[in-house]
Order: sequence, then structure tokens, then C-alpha cells
Amino acid sequence: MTDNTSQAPEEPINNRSARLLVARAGALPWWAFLLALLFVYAFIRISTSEEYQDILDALIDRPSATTSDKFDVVYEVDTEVQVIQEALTLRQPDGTRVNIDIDDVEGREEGRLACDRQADPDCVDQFGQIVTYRVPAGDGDTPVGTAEKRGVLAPEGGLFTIVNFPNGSSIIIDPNNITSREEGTLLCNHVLQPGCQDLTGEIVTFELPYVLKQGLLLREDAVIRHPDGYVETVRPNRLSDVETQECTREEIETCFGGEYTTAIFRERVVGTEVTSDGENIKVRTVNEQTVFIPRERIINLESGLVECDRNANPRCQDFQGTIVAREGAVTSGELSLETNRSVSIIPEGQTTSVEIPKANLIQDEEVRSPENCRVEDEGACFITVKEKDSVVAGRIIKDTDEGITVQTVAPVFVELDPDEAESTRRAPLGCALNNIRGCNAGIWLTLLVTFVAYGLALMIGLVVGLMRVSSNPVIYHLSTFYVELIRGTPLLVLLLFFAFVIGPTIRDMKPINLGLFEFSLSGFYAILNDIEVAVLGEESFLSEAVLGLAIGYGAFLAEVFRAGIQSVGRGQMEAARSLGMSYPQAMRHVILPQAIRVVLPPLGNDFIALLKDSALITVLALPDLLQLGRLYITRTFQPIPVYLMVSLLYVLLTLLLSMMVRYIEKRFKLP
Amino acid sequence: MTDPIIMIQDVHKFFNTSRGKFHALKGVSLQIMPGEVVTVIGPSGSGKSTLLRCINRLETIDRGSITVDGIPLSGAKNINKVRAEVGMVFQSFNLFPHKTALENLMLAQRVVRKRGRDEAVEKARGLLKKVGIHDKESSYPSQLSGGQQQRVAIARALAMDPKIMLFDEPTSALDPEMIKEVLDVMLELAKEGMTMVVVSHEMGFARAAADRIIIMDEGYIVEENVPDELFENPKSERTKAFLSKIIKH
Repeated sequence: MTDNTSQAPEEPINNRSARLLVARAGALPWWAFLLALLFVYAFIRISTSEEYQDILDALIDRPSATTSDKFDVVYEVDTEVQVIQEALTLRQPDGTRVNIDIDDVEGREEGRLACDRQADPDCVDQFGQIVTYRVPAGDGDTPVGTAEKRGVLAPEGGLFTIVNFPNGSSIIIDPNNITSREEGTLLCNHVLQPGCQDLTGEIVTFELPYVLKQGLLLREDAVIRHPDGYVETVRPNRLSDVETQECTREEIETCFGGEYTTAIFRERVVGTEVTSDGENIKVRTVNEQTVFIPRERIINLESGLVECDRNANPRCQDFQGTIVAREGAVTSGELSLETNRSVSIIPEGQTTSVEIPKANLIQDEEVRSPENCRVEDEGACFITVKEKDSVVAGRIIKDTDEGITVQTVAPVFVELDPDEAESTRRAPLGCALNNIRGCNAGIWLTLLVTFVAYGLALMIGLVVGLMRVSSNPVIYHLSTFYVELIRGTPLLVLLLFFAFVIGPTIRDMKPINLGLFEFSLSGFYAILNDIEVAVLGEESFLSEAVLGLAIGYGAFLAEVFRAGIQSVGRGQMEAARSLGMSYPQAMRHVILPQAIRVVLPPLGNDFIALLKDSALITVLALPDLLQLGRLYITRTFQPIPVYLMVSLLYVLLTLLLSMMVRYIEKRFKLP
Repeated sequence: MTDPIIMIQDVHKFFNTSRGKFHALKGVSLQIMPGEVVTVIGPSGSGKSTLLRCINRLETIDRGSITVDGIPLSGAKNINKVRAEVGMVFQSFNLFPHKTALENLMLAQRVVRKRGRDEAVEKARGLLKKVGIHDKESSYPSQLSGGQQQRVAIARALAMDPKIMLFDEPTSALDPEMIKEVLDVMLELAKEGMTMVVVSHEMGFARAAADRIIIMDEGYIVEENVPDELFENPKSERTKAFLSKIIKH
């Protein structure tokens, strides 16, 4: 509408539609012209400036016309894995960190860790989960108990009795504490420590006096090994059915210390389906690392077998790819940092430095000015270095006039039995016209969050609004409590509260036994998580953000609905009841249809307000319109055009939505 | 001898007001036979509207008992069933403004009586014709005159096939020239043998149609009699004073 009105006066007024346009334009208020002028200016700026076009492109999730990468397949499989280690990282009162084995944990509780004021008068007490753990008692400590341990006695030869452990550590013990001796071999955990060696000799079982210490829990890890040999670190709460059995190396190859611990791990395999032979499906899960090679640096390009490092990842596979020989790059600029291993150079005309390993450099071709200058010298030290020619092996994923992009890391393949998959779904990839589901960032996420949160808020508002006019005191006070509590909390606080308090609480909730059935909200959390992955392709605070906005606005909408219901005359309810309708029937057929017509304008207002408040989800690192703008600024240091564009898009959205709201109001208007 | 269709025995009603309790009905007893047309008159604040609203429990009573069609209201489990048998017409019409005249008549038929769409439409059209506004069936209440609205309201109550009709001052919100069209419909209804309880100051209607007139004042029934007798020969001083006032006008 805006462009038309501003151009209207220039057109010849000889046809009907133009005259109508002028008449319409004449009826518009003065600020509409100002707004139109602003839009025309913005339109011209955007259409002529590449910078603005790029910002706009970034804010609408860089859509393309078509894409062949439409989605990733996501399988969820329950795999039986071997638990190799469970360890906790704790912060000690003096601020240092310590890793302890789960076997050494004595107890856990929520509480305060008093810090060592004598060592540091300015230190601050820490709150969180306090873990009490055992440490071997040293000289002068009064032991609080003893723990039984096994180790191999070191050859005699000194004043002390030394016991070695397969993990490489050793300890001095009191010979009186030894309870039994036998000849044998203690196996070391070569999965966790590839270089370790089994210990053979006299195995002693001894009692180790210990003292208790306390630390603040920082993180908790479990190292697991998949049946195919793949080792990864996960959170212990993702493991279920943990079981420990005694074992021997003859039975199970990976039997360490006579124990074998298994657990069920819910694995999420995300990738592209490549082959399927009926029984097994192979999924390529790319952990991309790409290298861009300018065309002028390509010496040779040939296809060949790209070998993968199976030691680094047992799941990788060799594949037929491209082997690119490239000429070493010449970099010149100001030296910013030099270590034994690498040099960092700020190339001319740039602001950030690049780090180049010294191993890659041809030493003879290094030129410095002033000669042999160093970073520590006064004044700038300019340096020109040439890298050695090198070979990049991988898959060419992009080929343009400027150069090629090679994906170097071999794709990881996971073979799955589809029958074992607990759930299968598709996660969206790039945003394109033929893959609208992939458009999930920027303006699209803002719209998605606004519409979904508003839909939920309408439902909450309607239910609570009805509760607010109830004659039942329990229902009335319950709803009033909700409204007053939520309305009195800033929306930003509410969002943070949902993301960092309610979300984790629900996630870690243990099932509450209610006699006949178990009750737990963690299943609900898992469902929300699945939705997040389906929408954004990864776990995020999306559902917390939507729920926070919905519950926050639900309180406002509840008041709107209450006012609307109360605005309908008492006679309407009496008339409906006198005809024999029940209270719910009268509400549904007589009161609500009238109340909703009354509250349409305030509902529309709140809708637009919600659209604007959706920008708050930026604090939860969700890639909405504002967040993409902020990310763009961190890359380009151009706040002015980006914030102009972000504001313009919000104004445009609200204008469109207010037109929609006005249309709906018109549709439902009574004669 | 048939049983009375409405039995009101020693009914007391209090209203909570900011200045304490207001005693609106002070032991009212009344029996209405099937097919009887009863007109209740009295000065404002005398409790006549309250009495009427108690008959379909829009107001609850504090003491005494009301039995409608053999069902005691105080213990009625399903008051909605009783209400469906008792039609009510309000002073301010209370038509549903978001529905057309036809839809106003259809709603309760569909929702309460669970009638099919075609049956409800047929019934509604027949009743609109009976009250003489069949040409306005797709008009909204705001597009109708007061008299037309009140006739739709009467038709709406009749659509439920009630055994009793209650009229709460049906003509007092109308312009004088519209009163007649509403009264005509009511007279027609009375002739058909409908049990009617009418709170009204329309003496013409009372004379023409009522079997009995009841005079109320300050929560009591002051006098009840057949119309001619009551108008010609009022017994109590209170009735005389009241009648002299309204007949003067």
C-alpha cells in the first residue's frame, strides 16, 4: 500500500482506479505519508546497496531457490554400551579443579562450599551440589575410614612399600595394612589409555586409610564404548539399566580390573541415509571440516581413495574422493605472536590474525623487516612467509570460479538395524523454496515462535479467563494467583526462569511414585526436545522460550477474556439458562461468541506486542530475527545498517499483522 | 380435579445488600392450575419479578418450597430439564445479538432438545410466522424494532414447547405503538390454553385474558381475585390505593 500511495499523485487521473486511489490516499492521515516515504527510501536503499541486501538475506535465513539437501534423517537407537569410566570434576575450596572416580564418592548434597579465607581473603562461597569424596590419608591426617584396594607390589628395594596401579599411578602404603597377597596379572584399561601396560607380579589387597574432602560438582561424565569400538563421553543421566558384572579377559576382551559395566544408551544418529540393504541402513553423519582452496593455488587435482584415520574414529570409512595438491600460500603482514610451534600474522588490510604452524613453513623464504625482528621489539615487525606445498584429500562440495571447497574429514558412517530404531524423523537442512521446513531461523523463527506462543497463550487465557469468572472459590483463587504471579514477573525473567530453572528441573526429575502409577515430567521434556530437534535440527531453548512467552501472555489474555465475558450482560446468561441450557452450553453458545467479538481489538494488540516481545528469546541464544542481526554485527562490526534493517523488518511484520487483525475484526463484526 | 402445575408454599427470599439483608418475599403461597393465566401486579419493589424468577430458579429461595410440574425445585438434580419446560420472556428481550432471529429460535432446540437441523428450522419458521415476523428471519436483533424483538423472544421460548410461560414485564420497555403487537401474541397464546404467569401493568390484557389477578406489595400477596371482581370491588385498602394510581394514568 505504501509504495502506491506515494506515487499516486503523479499518475494521470483519467481512469477510475487511479481516481479511487487518490481518494483513498487523501483520506490517509499525514503520518501515513511519512511512513510511506520512509519505506520508499528504505526500499531504494536496499535495492541499490549490496550491503543491505546481504543483511536482509542473512536475516531471512539465506533462502535459495532449490536445494538437494532437504533433510537429515534422525534415528534414535537404544544401544547396549560398555561403561568404561564415570568421573566427576569438582572445584575444591581453594579454587583448583580435581577429577575423581565415581567409586571414591561418599555422598552428595545441595549446599554451600565454604572457601579458604586464609588463603584468599576475597574469595566467595559457592553454592551447588557438594560432593564428599575419599582421598588417601597423608602424614598427620586422621583417617576416617579405610577402603579396600588392589594393586601390584613394586619390587622390594627401599624403605617404603610401593604399590603400582594399572593406570600408571602408584602409592606408598603401610605393609601392616596388606590383607592378602597372590601372584597374577592386573589388566589395564587400554580403551581409555591406549598406551598403558598390564601389570604382572604380586597382587596385594590392602586397606587404604582415607580422609574425606568436599568439592563443588562442576561436571559429570561417563565414557562409553559402543559395540563397534567407538568411544565417546556422555552425560551419565542418558544411561539407563546400568549393570556391573565380574568378568575375565578370556570371556570378554574389554574386561578391565575384573569388572564389566554395561548400560543402555539412547543414541541419536543424525545424517543422510546412503545405503540400505534391507537389514541395515547406513547413515552418513558428517562432522564437517571444510577447506577453501583458491583456484590459482591448485597444482594438481585427481580422484583417488581418501584414507581415514581409524584410530581417531573407528566409525570412519575410506571413500573415493578427490586429492588436491595445492601450492603453499604466501602470507605477509604484521607479526602478532610467535611461539615455538606457530606464528600469528595479521595480514595487510585485515583486522584479525591467522595462525600458521611453523612445521608448514619453508624457512628459507621467510622475510622480515626490519631484519630478524621479533614481536617484543619496538615498532611493527612485518613478515612474509611461504607455506610448503600440501595435499588436501576429501570430497569437493562446492566448485566456484574463485576456487573449490573440500570437505576433509571423512564422513562417519553408522550402520543401524532399522528395527532397533526407537524413533525416526527428519531434521530440516537448508532454507529453500522446495524445503520450507529448513527455513527455521531469523524472521521465520520469530514468526513461528509468535504464532505458536500466541496460540498457546489464547488457550491458557481462555481457560484461566473462564476460571476467573467461576463462582467456585478454589478455581477463582487459583486462577487469580496465576494471573497476579505471572503478571508481576518481567517477561525476560520468566523466560530465563523457564530455561534455567523449570527446564532442567523437569529434565532431571525422578519419577514420583503415586502408588498405582509413576508420574514423571521428564517424558514430557523429551517430547519437547524431539520437537525442538525436528524444528531447529538441534536441542535448544525453543520450547522453554515458547512456553515462557505463552504462559506470560496467558496471564494478560486471561484478564482480557475475563473482561470480555463480564462485558456481556447478565441477561444473556439468564436468557440462555431459562431456555434450559447448562452453564457450559450457555458459555459456549451465547456468552463466549459475544465476548470474543468484544475482546478482538485487545487480543490483536497483545498479538502485536507478543511479536515484538519475541525478540527477548535472543537471550536464550535462539536464532531469531534479532539474534541473527546481532551475529551479523559480531562478524562485520556494522551495527547501524543491521539494526536499521532489523527494526524495519519488525515494523513491516507488525504492520502486516495489524492489517490481518483489522481484517479479522471486520469479518466478525455484527450488523 | 387436576393437580396445580405450580405450587408455591410459604416462600421467603432474602437479598444480600451492602446495608444487610433485604427481605424480598415474606412467606408467599400460591397455586396455579394448568391452563390458567395469572397476572401479577404491584408497585415496584413489591417482589413480583422476584417471585417469577424463583419459579424457574433464576433466583434461589431461602425458605419454603416451589414445585413445578410435580418436581420440587429445591432438590431438583437437573434444573435444566425444569427450565426447558418453563419459558421465560424478559423485560429487556435478551435476544442473542450474534444470531439471526431464526438462529435465536434454533439454538436451544438444537443444544437442549437435541433436535435435528431441519426439524429446528421448520419449528422456528412456524413460530416466527405465528408471531407475525416470518419475513425477518435472517435479521439480527439490532435490525429489529422493540416489538419485533419481544415477539422473537416469545417465539424463542415457545420453540422449546414449554408447559408454562413466564412473562416479566414484557411490554414495559416498548414504545406505546408496539405494545399492542406483543399483547396480541400473548392473547393468542392465552386462548390456546397455555399456562401463563404475567408480571405486567397492562390492565387491558389483565381484563381480557387473565383468569386471576394477584396484587403484591412489600413481599406479601395482598389480594387475589378474578379481574372483574378485583377491579370493581377491591377488598384491601392497599389494592384500592394502587389501582387508583394506575387507572388515573
